[in-house]
Amino acid sequence: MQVSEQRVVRTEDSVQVFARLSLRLSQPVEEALLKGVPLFFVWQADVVRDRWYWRDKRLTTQYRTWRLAYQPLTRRWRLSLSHQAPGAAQQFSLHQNLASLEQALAAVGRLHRWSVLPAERAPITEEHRVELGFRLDPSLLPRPFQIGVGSSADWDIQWQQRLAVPARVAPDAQDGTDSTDNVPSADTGSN
Amino acid sequence: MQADRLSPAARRWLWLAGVAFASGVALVLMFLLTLATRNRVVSEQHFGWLLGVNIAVAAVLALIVVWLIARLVMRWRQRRFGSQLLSRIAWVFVLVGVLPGVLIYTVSYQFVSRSIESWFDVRVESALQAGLNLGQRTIDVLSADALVQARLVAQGLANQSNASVAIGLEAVRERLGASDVMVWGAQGRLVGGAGESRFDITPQRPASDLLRRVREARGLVWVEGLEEDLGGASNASVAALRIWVPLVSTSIALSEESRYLEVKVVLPASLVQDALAVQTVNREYQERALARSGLQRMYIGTLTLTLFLSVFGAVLLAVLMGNQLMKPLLMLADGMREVAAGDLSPKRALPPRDELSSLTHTFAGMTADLAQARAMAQHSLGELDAARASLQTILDNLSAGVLVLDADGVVRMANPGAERTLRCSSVDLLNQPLGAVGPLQGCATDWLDRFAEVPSADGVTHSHWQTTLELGPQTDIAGAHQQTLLVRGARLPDGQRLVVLDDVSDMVSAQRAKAWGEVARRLAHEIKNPLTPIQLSAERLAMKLEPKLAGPDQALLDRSVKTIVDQVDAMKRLVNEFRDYARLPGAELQPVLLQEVLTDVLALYETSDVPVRLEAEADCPAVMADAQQVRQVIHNLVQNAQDACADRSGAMVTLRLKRSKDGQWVRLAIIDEGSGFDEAILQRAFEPYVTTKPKGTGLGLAVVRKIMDDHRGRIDLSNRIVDGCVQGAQVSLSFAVA
Repeated sequence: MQVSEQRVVRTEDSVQVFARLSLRLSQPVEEALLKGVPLFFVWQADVVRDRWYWRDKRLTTQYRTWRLAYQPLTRRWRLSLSHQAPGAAQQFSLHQNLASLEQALAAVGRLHRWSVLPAERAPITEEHRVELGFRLDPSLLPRPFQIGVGSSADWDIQWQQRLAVPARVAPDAQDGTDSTDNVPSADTGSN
Repeated sequence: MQADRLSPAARRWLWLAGVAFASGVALVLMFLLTLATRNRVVSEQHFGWLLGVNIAVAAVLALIVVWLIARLVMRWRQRRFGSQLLSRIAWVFVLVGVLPGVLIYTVSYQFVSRSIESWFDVRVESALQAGLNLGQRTIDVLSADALVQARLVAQGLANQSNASVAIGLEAVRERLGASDVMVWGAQGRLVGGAGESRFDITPQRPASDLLRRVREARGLVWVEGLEEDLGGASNASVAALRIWVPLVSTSIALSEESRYLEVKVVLPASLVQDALAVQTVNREYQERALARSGLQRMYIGTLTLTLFLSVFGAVLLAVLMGNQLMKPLLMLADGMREVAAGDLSPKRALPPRDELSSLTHTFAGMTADLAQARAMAQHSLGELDAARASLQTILDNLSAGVLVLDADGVVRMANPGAERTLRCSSVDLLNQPLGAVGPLQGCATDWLDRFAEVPSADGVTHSHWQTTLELGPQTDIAGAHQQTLLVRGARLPDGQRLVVLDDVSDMVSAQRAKAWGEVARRLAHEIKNPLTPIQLSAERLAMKLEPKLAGPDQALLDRSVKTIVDQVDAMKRLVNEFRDYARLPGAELQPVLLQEVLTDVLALYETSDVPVRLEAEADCPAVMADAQQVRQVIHNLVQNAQDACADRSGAMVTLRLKRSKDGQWVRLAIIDEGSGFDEAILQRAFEPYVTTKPKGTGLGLAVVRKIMDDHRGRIDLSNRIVDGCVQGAQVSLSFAVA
């Protein structure tokens, strides 16, 4: 797994995270995918404040869960997104059908202007850190599946980074032109 | 209730084991529960954690079991009481607990592995795959067919103007069997539409990227809405084929604007349903196939863990329960060991819950009885000892000699009095036959015969005999060494014989003195009467005949008369002494100053051959005495001393007068430098007729003794011994101070 971009941008009203991971799945994982087993990739961002005298204070935790599944009937890759914490009651929205696994993985591994903390909730300063994590979450896999998967290195995909919050920048100084979320253009593909 | 009866250590162990066992079982149950309910709360990480805790509990149990077994083996090796029975009980419990567990485990193991394997079948898998492929093909065929049809339609529409296209669309829609048909302009402008989407107020505009790709590929087709229902995802739209075909106009007039035909063909519901069902089942099947090894491992792991937990728990419980069962027995064993070692302290007893426990009760009671009996025995033994000790003290301080003989006449016991009386050491007495004891050689047979004569009647105390025995050399005139013993014999209850020896020498001596006094008085009276006429007659003979005789006759007469007169004088003196001894008047005690008496007496001895010296302490107090009798005593003693010193030149007699230390007595010592007393004489010097002097009557010291007895004074006779040699004799007289 290679990380080509990871940064935090602080604007007037939010803290946004940018990241780009180039995911590569191992053979057993890809086989499982091709057999129709859906996989769940979880982005997790914690805004914490360092406290030398105690455990770090966790201001907020946000999730971004991708569900990636192969549809053998249409031979297409379906991505679904959820902003809820990983769990059984998770609701997915924003579905996309993609023609290839590479496209899907690129979409999963990309974070663009993910606002991890609404500004009105608490003032954010340079004291804060953003703990950014990405993992393949086996706890959402079918139950019997988890037993063998838990200890296997093939299934162990995770990445974690602690990012500093930079000084505030003007909203127009940031890069990127589109103001919408980073959903790739939906429902496109080719035979 | 039960826990109260256990020792704290046992209770603690029971608690520990119970908690460990219960927690292990609880964990396993929880694990199984999560498996059964597929509770999402316990996820895969928790499973690992659960597994770890289970293994830890199993390890702890295993350790405890190993420790217990090691302890049991050690106790077995040490041959501790109860270890064999404990092992046997533990074995039984272990077998009872473990065998069914192992059986169930084996069966379950087989069942689980077989049944999981049986879920998976190659034919099922290929059939599912084939079904899926069938679905794929069908959709592919439908798609390709629809695309071809759409292209045909597109060719027809391509050369028509926008207006005519819009009019003819409904016909196109019916021809294609589509639900929607739309024609889009180049900039995403809706040219015309037919079908349901006509009623959409804001139809979704195509993206430019899509249109570009449609143009490049000359037509695109894809399936939409063919997804499984994800929870919450709005997927109400029916599965449909969506076909985009560019309207490539051949006429030049219309070529400025590129147009696109969009067709939506709804797929048959049954087809969609079947295909989706096949896809879902296939996915689930694949999931399970992938998870097969995990499942197997999970079930078997759980089973194995459960087996371990139950086995260890069973062994633990077996050992603990065995211990519990063994407890009364071990207590009994301990108690017996203590009793065997002589410790009769109160024993612990368990409450009588069962037979074994009541056995400890009985044992404790028994021990208590035993302790009481022993205490009583010791008490009476102590009393016996005390009695014996007092008896021994009495025997030791008895002046009479006591001998105990056994049936064979061997001396078994002799008190110090016997040793004194017989003048033997205990070695010479004890365990010697009576005949072998020196002084008793002559009479032993006689005594034993007397015992034989005494009937051993029931009243043993009355059957006794009595005799006297004279000991010591008979040749001595004075009988100085002679001892008179009164001997009494009696039978003791257990065949032993008792001989009591009373030394009655002193009594005999006193009786003899009294007899002598009587004899002397009578003799003096009878003899004295004719003496005066004899003397007078002799003197008259001398007076009458002296003038008539001359020469040798006269000398003969003088000599004979002188002899008669001298002998009569001697006889008179003898008679007087006898009389004095026998008829001493009672002393009339008055305060007397001894110095004056001594001075008076010594005046008579100033011219004697042996000088007499007086060493009187100054201011000696007056003593109670009869001055007349004291004079006689001093005369007697001084004369004796002078006689002792007569054949020694330069020897002298010393009279020493001094007060005793406590001031109650005044002591007069008459010291000579003669040859001293013979040992035999010292013993009986005061008896009448005992003397060392050739001409002595033997009455001098007897009279002295009698006078001193009348004065309640003391008289001591001893030899002065300097450097081991006898340097003379000393007679000490003690008078009470007035």
